[in-house]
Amino acid sequence: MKQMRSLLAALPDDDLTFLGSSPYVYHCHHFNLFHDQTVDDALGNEQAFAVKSRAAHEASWHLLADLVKSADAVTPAERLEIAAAALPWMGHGRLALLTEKHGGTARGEYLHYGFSWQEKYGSRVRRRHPADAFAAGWAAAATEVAYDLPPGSLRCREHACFACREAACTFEVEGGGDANLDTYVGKETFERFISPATVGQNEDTVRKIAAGLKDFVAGIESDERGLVQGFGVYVTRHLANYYDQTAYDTIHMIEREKPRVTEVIEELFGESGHVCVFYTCGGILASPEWEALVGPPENDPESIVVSCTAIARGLGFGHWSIAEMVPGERLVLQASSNYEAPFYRERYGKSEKPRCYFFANAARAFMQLAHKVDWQERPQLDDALYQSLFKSNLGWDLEMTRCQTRGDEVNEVVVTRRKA
Amino acid sequence: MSRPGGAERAEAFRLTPLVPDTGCGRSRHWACHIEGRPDVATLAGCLEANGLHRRCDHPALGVFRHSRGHEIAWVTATGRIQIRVDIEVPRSERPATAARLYRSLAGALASKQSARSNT
Amino acid sequence: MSTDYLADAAKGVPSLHAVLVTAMPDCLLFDSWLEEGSSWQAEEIATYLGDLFRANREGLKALSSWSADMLVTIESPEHYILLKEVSNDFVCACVFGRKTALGMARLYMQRMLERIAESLPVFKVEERPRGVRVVDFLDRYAPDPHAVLLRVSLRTGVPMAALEKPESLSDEHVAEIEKTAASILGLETLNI
Ligand SMILES: [Zn+2]
Repeated sequence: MKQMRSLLAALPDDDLTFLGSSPYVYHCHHFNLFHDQTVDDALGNEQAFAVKSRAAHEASWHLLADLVKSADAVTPAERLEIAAAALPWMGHGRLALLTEKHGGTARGEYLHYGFSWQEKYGSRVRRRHPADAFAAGWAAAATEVAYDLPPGSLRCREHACFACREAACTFEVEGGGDANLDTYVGKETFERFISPATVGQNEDTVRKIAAGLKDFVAGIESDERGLVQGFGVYVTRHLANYYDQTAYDTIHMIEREKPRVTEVIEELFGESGHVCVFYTCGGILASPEWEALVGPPENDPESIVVSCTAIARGLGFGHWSIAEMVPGERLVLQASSNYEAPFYRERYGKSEKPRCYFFANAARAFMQLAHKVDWQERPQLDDALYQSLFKSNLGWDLEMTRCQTRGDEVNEVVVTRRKA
Repeated sequence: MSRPGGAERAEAFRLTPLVPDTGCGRSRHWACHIEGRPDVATLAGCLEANGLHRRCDHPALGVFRHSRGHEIAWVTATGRIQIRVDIEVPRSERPATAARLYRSLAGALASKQSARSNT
Repeated sequence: MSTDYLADAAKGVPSLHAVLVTAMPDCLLFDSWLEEGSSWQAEEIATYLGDLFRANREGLKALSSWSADMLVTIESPEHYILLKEVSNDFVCACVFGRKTALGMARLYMQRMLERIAESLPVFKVEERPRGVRVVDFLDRYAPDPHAVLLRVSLRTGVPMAALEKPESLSDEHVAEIEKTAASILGLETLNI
């Protein structure tokens, strides 16, 4: 889609990518589903849907505003058309917006969350609550932008969902919204909170692979369903603010209301880091694309960690770098920029404890993939392998030693082999 | 090393048997290898004649897409082939669909070989 | 795991690949005999076959055509799998290769069951605490089993330390995690 491509921007040295001023990253459906599920578990389905759709609304509104401005779209019809075309480009499926000034309906097909949930879990679990809160927030924001309504004045509910075995997803957009668009975390915010790019071990290799991967993923097109498939997963070009806001709002709520399970929710959001590294980094390493661009992966822990670090940069997770790597023993991973810390600092101020859960747990998963997977055998990256690698006793201890959410210069995590 | 003649060269483009490939997609990804190195343009032409079009024209990688959404990815340097069955094919039918795509690829290679040995 | 009485019962029976005794209603493996060199996972097979037997029994009860000496026969391309109740507490499964005629397999099974029934312990299987059964059920059926206890803890507020010792959970907590387990699986109630 031409308009979306014209909005592509980056802080290339910091390995951050933006659509207009909105930060975006690549995440797969395994990560997305696990992330949303944790919000559902923490808050209950109804409140979780409200929190997720509000975060989606807030994250989408600025992107949609940038988009209609850059396309010089004046009429509501034009603007709705642009909003409808942008969602498939991001790999989120198709959403027909049938809304007017005071609301209306929307109908989704192949929406990322519902569709991929059905594919992943549908044969094992009967789902009874809708999955597409992101599309709901998008629909509300798109309608506000299309009709120049006050930002945050609408809300949207999903009444039927493909994940619940309905034929399509249906939404209702109406008044009574509570999205808050007063503060915004955009490119300028990132520039304030990130540090100059660090230089890590194997820097040249990491940089070179990351550059090739960035080019490659930028060229991936969605299919006619509005899905982006690559590396064996459904990929989304997703708004990072959505992840940050849903995770941190939920964690804060747990800290206030159910403090004794704070560690549990931190572990679950961290677990989504394992999920991402296993399916996305693993899927990339095992893919024909990687074999063509970089060569087949070898059973060498250092080279796997180098590759995973480059992949993180390539997907827009930030400037991750290897400060120290001792195969079999220890990894010190740093990030002078990531997508978690700037959001936290801007929205909630300084944290008292480290809070880059995704970054930290991804580092641990790097070590697990580097040491426990036989890459030359071209492993089946399926649930069974995942369970065997991540179900219990990973064998790696994790310490977040520095964190930008706490005001430290960089984010740093130390992964060490657990002593028997 | 001297190259063998036409008939044996045809033999050199054989596909190894189809086996499940890596990936989380439950019988969606299948693998085989092209033994030998056919050139990209000719193979692309043959696959296009079989209803696939080239989606990715990176010099190191060919990805050919079928109108039904299936794909054949080919790493030109190593000969690795990955056949990807479209997500909307029911799980039970995926192996048979992959086998059909495999046969069409084998057919494309055979037609390329005969074109070569006629010249 | 193979105990003498099962090995004795299986001795000399042609084309017999496995004998599995499953404790009901939990569908957990009680005892098994596998032919030498077998790569089957007895626990797994016992669990699924136990579930299958239970579903079959409930289905037949709903049709009012259930009786305790019912024999369930599954004909797969390579095997005959025969399932029969030994007592209220045990179901026995025998897996035969198809070289043996089905009628003969049934006959062999009947003879084996007589010996097995004599040897099974006379005491009733101790009923495991309900909390343990709920956690086992989740481990077996929930998606993402690696994270399911964390999910239960987050939903219920019951700390992980308590969930990791399900035998000591209070009745209140058991009721809560049972409700949560059903909700995670999209079920009205747990069939445990
Ligand atoms: Zn839906």
